[in-house]
Amino acid sequence: MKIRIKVKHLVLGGAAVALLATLLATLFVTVVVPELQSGHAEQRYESGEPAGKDGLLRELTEASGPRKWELIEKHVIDTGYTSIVHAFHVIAGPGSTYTHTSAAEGTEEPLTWEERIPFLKAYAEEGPPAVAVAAAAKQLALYYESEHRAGEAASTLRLAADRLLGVSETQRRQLLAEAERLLAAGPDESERTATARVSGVVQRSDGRPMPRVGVFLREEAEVFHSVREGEAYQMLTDKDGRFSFEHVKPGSYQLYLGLRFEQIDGWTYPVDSNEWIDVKAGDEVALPVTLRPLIDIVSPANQEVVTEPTLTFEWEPVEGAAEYRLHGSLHIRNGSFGSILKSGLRDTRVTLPLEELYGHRMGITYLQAEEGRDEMADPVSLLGFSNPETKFSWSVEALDAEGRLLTRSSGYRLDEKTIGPLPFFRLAERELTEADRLLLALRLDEAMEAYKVAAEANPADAHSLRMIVKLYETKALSGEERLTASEPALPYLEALFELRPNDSNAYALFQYYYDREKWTEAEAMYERLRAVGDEEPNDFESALYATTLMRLGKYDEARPLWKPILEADGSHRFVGRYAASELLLADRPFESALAVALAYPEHDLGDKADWASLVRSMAAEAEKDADYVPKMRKALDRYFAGAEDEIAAGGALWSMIEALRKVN
Amino acid sequence: MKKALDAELDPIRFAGRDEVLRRTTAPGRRERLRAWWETELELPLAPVGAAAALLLAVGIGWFASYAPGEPGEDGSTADAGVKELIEAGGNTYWKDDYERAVAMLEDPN
Repeated sequence: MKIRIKVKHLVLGGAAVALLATLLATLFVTVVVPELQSGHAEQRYESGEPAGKDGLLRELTEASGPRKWELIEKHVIDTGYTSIVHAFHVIAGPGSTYTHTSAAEGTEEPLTWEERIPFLKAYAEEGPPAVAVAAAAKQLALYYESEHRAGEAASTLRLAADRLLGVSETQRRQLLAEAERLLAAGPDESERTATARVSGVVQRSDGRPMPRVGVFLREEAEVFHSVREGEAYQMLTDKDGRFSFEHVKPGSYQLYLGLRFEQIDGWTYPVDSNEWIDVKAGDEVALPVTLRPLIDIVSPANQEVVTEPTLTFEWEPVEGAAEYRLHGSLHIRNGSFGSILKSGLRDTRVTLPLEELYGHRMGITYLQAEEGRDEMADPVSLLGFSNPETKFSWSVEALDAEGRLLTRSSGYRLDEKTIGPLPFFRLAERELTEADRLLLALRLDEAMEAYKVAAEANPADAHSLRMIVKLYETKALSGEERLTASEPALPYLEALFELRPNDSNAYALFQYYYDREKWTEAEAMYERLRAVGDEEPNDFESALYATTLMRLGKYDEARPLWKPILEADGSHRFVGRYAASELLLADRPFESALAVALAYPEHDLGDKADWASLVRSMAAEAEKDADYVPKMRKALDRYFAGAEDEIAAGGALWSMIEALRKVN
Repeated sequence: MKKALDAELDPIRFAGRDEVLRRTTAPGRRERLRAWWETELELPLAPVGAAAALLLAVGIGWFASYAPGEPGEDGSTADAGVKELIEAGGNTYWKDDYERAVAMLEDPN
């Protein structure tokens, strides 16, 4: 088939098509392509390509009109934070370190604060008047505030508020309120002297300062929940990592940090769980905060299976470490739990006989009640390190000469370089016995029988003795019943101690007597513990011993023990007994007791007493009564002796004794 | 008759000789152009159709070359970038890193 067409039609038609095509092409190139290309740059940035961020920044600068605002909204405002609380991946502090966001935002490289500022400014000043303008202004204000430019922060917020007049009343009010707060003149003179200043610098141990890190100075009452809006002292560090909180009310605080994944990966904020910052009026508190690199472990690692009768733990040395502390954990169904295996280690390696691990006293976990079965102790936790089927892990902490935490091996390991060897191992040196299998099958009574039979057949069977004791101890779940239910454990505890006269078994016996208020036996046992033990007592053990002495009326012997205990234990949970000790013995009882109460304020989770105020009330009562001191001492003595009905007390003294009852 | 006509017309020369020659013998550029302009071509459909299709394809291809690329093979759109953390042995790892490390331990090949 043929087409018949005149040349003129062909030529004219062709010319028309060419003209149209050229017009379209021009339109395309000048309008559509830039749109697409910016989308292209955007896509390259979002997919995490290396030069993607530069492309995006160029795009942001060159774009104009609605496209520009759209880009700023998406990549600058929406990825930024108007509140410090939500600006970080990880919140790290004494009580806990937790992940605030559980996922990374994506493969994009985040824009730095400095990169965002010009776009935030442009948007706040010229962007379409809507909520995003408020968000941009708030982010700018955060930045300015951290750079000690509160005035600029306030004016930015005010400007944004003006722009939103008639658009969003809620946002306007928020912006103006925040501006007010920034400009608020400090408290007047009288208040100023009643507050303190807390400042410091956050940096790495290699000297590198950490700018734009979140710093949260948290009041005692707030510490037990996660960081929230509305907590009083929060700020970002400036470009040199510095921060300062003015007009801090006196009280006890803990310092938490807000960090991004890349800032905490391979590093740790080494702060003890009981580290408190006690602030008094007029104080100038300097807090240097130093992040340190995580300790690299060497072995055991990567699910090593140990078949030798000993296990050597080894790790890389830490500069400045005076001692190391080894932790071990059991991995059970839904988690893990652990305890300190050994402290006071001087070298970076230690060899432990497995027998010692088998005998190590760990916590007990419980299985929930189910069909046909009550709540009961989890056999896996009872077997502890004796179970060849359980997965274990370990970690190590380094302490300086003052006993303060330097760094640790556990933390965030998010990169090829920081992952390191996995700290898992198994112990396959022993096999499960028949009794063990019965225990794991939840047939407790049969297991108990089997253990007893085995122990009788072989007096050197430490494992069976240990398991018998644990089964007695976990027979009853509640406090009262537990004491009665675990009484039969005594002969086994003694047999075990005789077989293996070590810290662990001696302490178990000491605790047995202590829990039953058999003070004389407890004291005797503690002395044996000191005789056989190769480790220094920790502050908790020491405190129980001091209490035992006071219970026996040996106040003079107990008295010098308290100060080191209170120094070592940041929670100061036993300060009440220390104060009582001073009331009983000091020449100026109220003065000494008050000094103690003020030096060591109690920082306990639940019920805690205000010992200073109790002592002051008693001092006030004493002024009206010449015989007060002897009466007080008698009452305290009767309390410690356990002679409840002989306590003659009223008023503040009674409150004091009530508070002492609750010390634990 | 003829003698009379000749005598009358004698002084008159035919001036348009060149013109006539021109117009009647070679058609001349303009004529040729015009003729050509009005020429009817007969084109076979298949090649013409193919040529038109090719031109169209080239045109579209040129426009399309400016279109943004497909997302990369690794599926790296915003959604796919979400990673999970896992806590194990006291450390916090990215879940996929951890599982990979464990898998390598379990199968060292």
